[in-house]
Amino acid sequence: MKKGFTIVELIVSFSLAMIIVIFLLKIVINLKNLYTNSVLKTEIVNIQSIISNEINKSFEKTIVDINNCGEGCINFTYLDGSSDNLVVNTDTIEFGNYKTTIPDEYYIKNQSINISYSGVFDKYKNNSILIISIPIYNQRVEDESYEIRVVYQFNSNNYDLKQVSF
Amino acid sequence: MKKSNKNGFILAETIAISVVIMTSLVIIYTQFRIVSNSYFKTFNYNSVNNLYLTNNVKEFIKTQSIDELKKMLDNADYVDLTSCSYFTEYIYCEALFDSIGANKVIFTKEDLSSLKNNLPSNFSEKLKQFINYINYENNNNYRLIVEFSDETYASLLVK
Repeated sequence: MKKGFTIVELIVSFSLAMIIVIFLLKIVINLKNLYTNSVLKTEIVNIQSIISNEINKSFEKTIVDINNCGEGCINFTYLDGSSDNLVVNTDTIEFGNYKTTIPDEYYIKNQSINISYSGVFDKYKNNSILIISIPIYNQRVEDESYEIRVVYQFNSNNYDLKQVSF
Repeated sequence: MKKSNKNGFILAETIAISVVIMTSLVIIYTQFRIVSNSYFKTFNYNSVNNLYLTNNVKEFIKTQSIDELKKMLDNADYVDLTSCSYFTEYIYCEALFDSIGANKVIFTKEDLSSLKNNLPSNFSEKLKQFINYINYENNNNYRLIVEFSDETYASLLVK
């Protein structure tokens, strides 16, 4: 009796093996992309969280004045007399004592600070909104962007903050 | 006499092997989906940035007729605040929701069991998934749920 595989056995085995390999390869590639993306994304989300937390916590002290303090720099003065500078460049964000550099794959563009006023019926309620927007874009993927957005509500009858820009 | 050919696979062997392999692949794929879903939730649910933005809504509704909103929840699972029609300062409300990038703002009881069982059809699938994701306690508090325009979500307790 001759030992060995028949052609049918070989074809069936090979086909099954190819299905498994293709499926596993797809999973491994997806996992690798997921890992690479999540490392970078985690870093950006952490920066977003920390900056957002720092700014919002400081704004609880009530802003009484806003001024430009140079290129890409905004100064906030609070009710207790203290102040913080928000400095935003293409690759760094600085607020108060906290400074961070964003990963090489990302850059900051079109950062803005706006104040909008809405008429309200009750003059003792907030009637104005300060919006700080710091968009962070991915250099390779145009659609991928993260934004640090801070919204601060105030009553312009108490402190009339003037419009400034970065 | 005819020789019996004992080479080759029989059908039963092939089916058995295929079932084992397919089961393994399904298990691997299921685990991959779990990892992928965790990744999605980490980056899209309750980020610090979005929680602070939602807090702005909470601060606003506390200055408005929040007691009336709470009364409305005696007869409904949720109140949709997106249109700002429940507020006297509706112009300011619209500007505020626009400034935080909110697509939908919902006010509910902290006990979400009834809402989870009767999710409205006009809610997006992702919003329904987020509501099902929220853990809640059975108490007399309330909850604010915000869907943002970039398909991220946040919710805050309102006492």
